[in-house]
Amino acid sequence: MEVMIIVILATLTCALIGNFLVLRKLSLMGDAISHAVLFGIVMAFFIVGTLHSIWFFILSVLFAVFLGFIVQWIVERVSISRESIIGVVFTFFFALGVLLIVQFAGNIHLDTHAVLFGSVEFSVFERFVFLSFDLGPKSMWTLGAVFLLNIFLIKLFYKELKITTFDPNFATSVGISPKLIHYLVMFLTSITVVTAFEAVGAILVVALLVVPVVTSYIFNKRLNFMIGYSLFFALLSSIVGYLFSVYFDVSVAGAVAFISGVILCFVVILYKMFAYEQTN
Amino acid sequence: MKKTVFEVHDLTVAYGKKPVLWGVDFSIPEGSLVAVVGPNGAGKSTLLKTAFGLLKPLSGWAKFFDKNYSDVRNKIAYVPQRESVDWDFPATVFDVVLMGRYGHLGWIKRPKKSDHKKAMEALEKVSMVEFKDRHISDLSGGQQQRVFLARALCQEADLYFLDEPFAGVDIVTEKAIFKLLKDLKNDGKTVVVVHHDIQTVEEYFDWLVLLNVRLVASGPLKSTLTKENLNAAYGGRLDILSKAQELFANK
Amino acid sequence: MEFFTTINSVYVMIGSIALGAMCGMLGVFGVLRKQGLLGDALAHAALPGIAIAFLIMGERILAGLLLGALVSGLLGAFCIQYLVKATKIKMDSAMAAVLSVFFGFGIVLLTFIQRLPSASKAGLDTFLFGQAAALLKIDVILMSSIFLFTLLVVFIFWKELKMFIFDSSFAAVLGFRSRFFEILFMTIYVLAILVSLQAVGVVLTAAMFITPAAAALLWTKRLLSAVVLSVVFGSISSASGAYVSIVAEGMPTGPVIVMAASVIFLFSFMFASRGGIVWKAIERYKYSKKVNLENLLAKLYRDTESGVNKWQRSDISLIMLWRLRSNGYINSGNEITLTKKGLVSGFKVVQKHRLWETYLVERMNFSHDHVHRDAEIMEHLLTDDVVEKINSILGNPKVDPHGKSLKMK
Repeated sequence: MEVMIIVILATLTCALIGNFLVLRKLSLMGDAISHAVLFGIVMAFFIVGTLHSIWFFILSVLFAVFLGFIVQWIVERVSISRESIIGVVFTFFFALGVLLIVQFAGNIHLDTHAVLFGSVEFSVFERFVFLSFDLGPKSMWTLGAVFLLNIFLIKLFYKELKITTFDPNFATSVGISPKLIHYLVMFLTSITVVTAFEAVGAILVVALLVVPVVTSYIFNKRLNFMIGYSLFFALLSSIVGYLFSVYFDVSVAGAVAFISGVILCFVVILYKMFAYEQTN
Repeated sequence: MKKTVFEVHDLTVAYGKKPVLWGVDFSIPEGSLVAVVGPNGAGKSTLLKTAFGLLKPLSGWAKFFDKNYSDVRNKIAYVPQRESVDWDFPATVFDVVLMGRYGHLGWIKRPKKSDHKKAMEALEKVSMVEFKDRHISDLSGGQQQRVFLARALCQEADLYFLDEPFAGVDIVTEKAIFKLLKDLKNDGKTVVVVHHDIQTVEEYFDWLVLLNVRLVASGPLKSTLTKENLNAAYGGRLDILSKAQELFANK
Repeated sequence: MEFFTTINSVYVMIGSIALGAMCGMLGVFGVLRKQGLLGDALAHAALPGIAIAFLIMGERILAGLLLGALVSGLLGAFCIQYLVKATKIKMDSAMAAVLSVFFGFGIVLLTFIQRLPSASKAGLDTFLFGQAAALLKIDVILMSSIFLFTLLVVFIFWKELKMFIFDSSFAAVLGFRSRFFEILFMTIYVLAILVSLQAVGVVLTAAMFITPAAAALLWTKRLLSAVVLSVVFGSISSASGAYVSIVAEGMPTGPVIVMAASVIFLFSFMFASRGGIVWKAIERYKYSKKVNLENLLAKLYRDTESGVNKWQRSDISLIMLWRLRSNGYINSGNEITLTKKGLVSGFKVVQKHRLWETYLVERMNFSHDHVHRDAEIMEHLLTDDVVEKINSILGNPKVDPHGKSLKMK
């Protein structure tokens, strides 16, 4: 049960910030961050020595944010497309992360599979103990906190997010800096990815960031509805996906990603049918 | 002597490494309806973008009402090119027009009822009220332009900059937009339009800026629209200049 | 070398090099078309096909697995195209969505397979990160044939591919069936991806197609040179990976190859002629040296215009003295004098400055007080032929806007 809650929280949080990644055409950047963060996490682990410290979290997030800067820095100095640079950079860090795990993490609690595909089944064993009260799995709390932080910041800067996404030139002319908002989005993506990583692993965070959002994007005319529906689809994917994985005894993360795709298919089919009717 | 509302001094701006504006120098008096014209690549859009701080100049400056842009932001409205925007964004016509009020609100604050009212008034002026809940991707080119214009109108500015507002727009919309611009001028506002069509300049504008990397001419329309000036702007006898641009870029 | 005594190692090496070469070659086309990450999407999309093929066959037969990967990959490509065409969804999110959903499904199947009792499933894991050492002779033959096939295709259609990349709209106008090339290109691309799956693995195949090509493009913009260079880089990277994979048991090949390719990229980034950081720094240094020297020559010439013909050693820094002397611009003794060469060179700089000022004022509507700073820069950039042109356009003027002479004394 608790596992399901963690999965739901992870999916919701990713979907929320995912809206702005998809709209700002940063989906592949999200893909890059969720792969490359592996290296950040491994390095942070080596430096801090444990997965359970706040410093581990902070270092990992800093690395994820740093990634965006590296890509930007390189893009400005060469005449190769941004998308290709993203590919070069993230595969490098991801490969490095994998190598480090294979080489050095044999006797520590890092397992290639778990790290990459999530070990949400096991995450329930790390509890959040406060004044000797067992308040539930730690991931639940961290994810919950990150989710609330996302909600708060997105609500606060809602109109700035809107205007800089839709028309960055106009935004600059009225004094709202697209650059600052970009850093905000990158920051939120980074903390979300690092936190969700524990639950669903590096590779499937991408599905959670993109698929429910894209499903909602197809038919929504207004931003707040798009966000709302994306959360709905995220919730649906996580619940059905979780049940699916339990029934068939397969990977939870893979199942959720897969189910979110199935939902996308349904929506696309429905949309095409409905749109066809409209024109007739 | 009319007040100068927009002044550019020795402005040199590079796109990538190549300078597309070179030592440009001119000023616009209050209440004019200005056309900025020149061949493609002449730096017209670059001029606008630099003025608003979207691009950094290599040298020179631009002043609005004799001050820096950031000090008088709320008196200026910028209407960018239509292609610069992704019209698939989930927003209705009303949503976009309301964005025109964001500058006055500043960071974090939310639009109030009075802002909503102003947006509606702007929509009325461009005759788009019945479209207010329409999704922006469902609009024609002319309608999209009107939405942009409405957004600019509810900024309640004194100085308006429009980047190629008539490109790809039907003739009815074109006339309607010009009427609006004329009304603005009659209210004492100044309007600067980067215009793509030299043919219609005489019909609509009263001040002309001819640009081709450097300033060719700037002044009241009648006296500035001469054969020599047009030749100098569009003539193409610019090998030296383009060579110089190249050399500069490769340094 | 003991390494090569095993015939298998030789095959692994050959196969890996063929692989690296092929990916390098095709990667250039992909990167130029800004579709580098498409390879990533397709590779991820291939996973469920591999798993399903295994389930159907019951054992790990490479050809069958690759067929499954092919079907799955093409299905993924089709889904991406469909999403972009039929809905608002943009290319980048379509790729990310298809990539992750297909991959997720693949993981589901893999974990399902893991629960099955059959022994040969272990091999499937190698598809995630690659295991070049596991390549068998038959695999290598397959890989090499595909490589030769793609090489042939590229060779035959070279001109067309070139045109197709740089301007597909232009090519279409000429009556070229760009649709045909889309498909052709996609097919060889997918074939190459399939081949690399085994050695590099699903997760890192993208790098094989992007990193060596990107590194090559830092050195040259010409297509042929880029392709050749990319082939070399790709081969070196995969050879390194294969070597490590053979020597160090259990080490996944994919990450090592990617590391090798990235190191090459880093090196290129720092030193390559076009984009290189180090190169740019060197160029900048050379330029400032030139500017300093020319400025000094110009000053000396201007001094002669006011009648000064000799200078004290102490007026000029040692370094500059040395430079002036080694270029033959000065005669040095207790006092410094300009040689004929030095006089002419100094004049040239000054002439360029003043001529440019004249041009700005007369042809570009600049006012007198705005031209100096511009001329300060241009005097070092204008070449002799441009100077001649300006002179002829202006009608060989004698003085500049400030009244200074444009002719040598």
